[in-house]
Amino acid sequence: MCKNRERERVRIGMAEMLVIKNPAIITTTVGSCIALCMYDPINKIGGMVHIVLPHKTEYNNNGNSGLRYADKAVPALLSELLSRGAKKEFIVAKMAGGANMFPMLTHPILNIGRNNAEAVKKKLIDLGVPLVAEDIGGNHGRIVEFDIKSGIVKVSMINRGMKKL
Amino acid sequence: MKDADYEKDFEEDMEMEILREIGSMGAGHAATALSDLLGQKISITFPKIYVTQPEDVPRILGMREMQSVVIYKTLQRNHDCSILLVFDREEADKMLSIMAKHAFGLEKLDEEMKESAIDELGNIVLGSFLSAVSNFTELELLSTPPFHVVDIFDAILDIFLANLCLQNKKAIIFKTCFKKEEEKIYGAIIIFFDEKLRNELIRRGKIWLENL
Repeated sequence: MCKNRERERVRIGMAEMLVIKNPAIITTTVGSCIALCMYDPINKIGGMVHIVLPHKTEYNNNGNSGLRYADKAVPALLSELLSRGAKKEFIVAKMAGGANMFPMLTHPILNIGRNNAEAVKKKLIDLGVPLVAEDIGGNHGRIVEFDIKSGIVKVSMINRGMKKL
Repeated sequence: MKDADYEKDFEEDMEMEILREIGSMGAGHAATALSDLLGQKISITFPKIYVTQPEDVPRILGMREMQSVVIYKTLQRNHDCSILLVFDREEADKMLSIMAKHAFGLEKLDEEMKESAIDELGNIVLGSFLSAVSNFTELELLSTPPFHVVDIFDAILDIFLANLCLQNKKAIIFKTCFKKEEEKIYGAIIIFFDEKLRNELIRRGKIWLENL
């Protein structure tokens, strides 16, 4: 706990990405969104992107951040890691999120969490990045903390405790 | 400055004027209904109003990882419009405490009563707001019953923000202050209008401004 306090803790918001080489903790909060973490354990470089939607379509193509979308954000995170010195053969991914926060409702938008998770997994397979751990689905929010030094992703939930990925 | 820029500024200024008017009408109705329920004078004010991109909503509200209560209503039939009343847990508890004392004559509500009190609060405040929109546009707006979720604020909000991103819509935030005597309770009302309803508001707003 004390060690964590000594490290820089950096929060990212929706459609934001951060890649760090130094010991640091990257954090975000997700419901239906996905927090995707990629990590090179040999070169100690890691990054996180906060993904909002599965794909960019003609309906949401208004020139805003491509990092909202899984099909753009997953390759962007990989590319940034590689440009900062990570090696493709060592990189692994972990992800959390994809919840349905309103299980009592039936609006089609509420499938976004599941669709987000599927889109991220498909893109990881396309790019050849192994997904080594995940905490997906359910009806609850998650605070996700990615420790670059250890590669551990801590997922905290209200009244449900904490998991380590 | 180009003509298009003037037009955009004019439209944005007008939208803010319309929102203030709707806010004022909605707050008046909601305050009256809450005061009747509680037998106590309640006032509602909106210290700040924002029209913003989806990604900026969490930053503006600053509730982030806080445990929060979000009450939600949506329109049925012809419009896709969601409206949310949000409190952090502490502020929600303050409101529930007032409701326990004045609406139920109790010191504290049990869990089941809390659930229904939260929905009742949402029904009054959000229903009054939607009535104000309905009066302003002269459109018949039929809403769902209220639903609520208690969880991490940013996590609850992201499904609504994802929906906004899908449709290139902006969010409207009314920072909200409920006041009973000297006690103040802070929350926010967030509205996501569909394009059709927003355009109708602006069309009606132009007529309303011309007649001021």
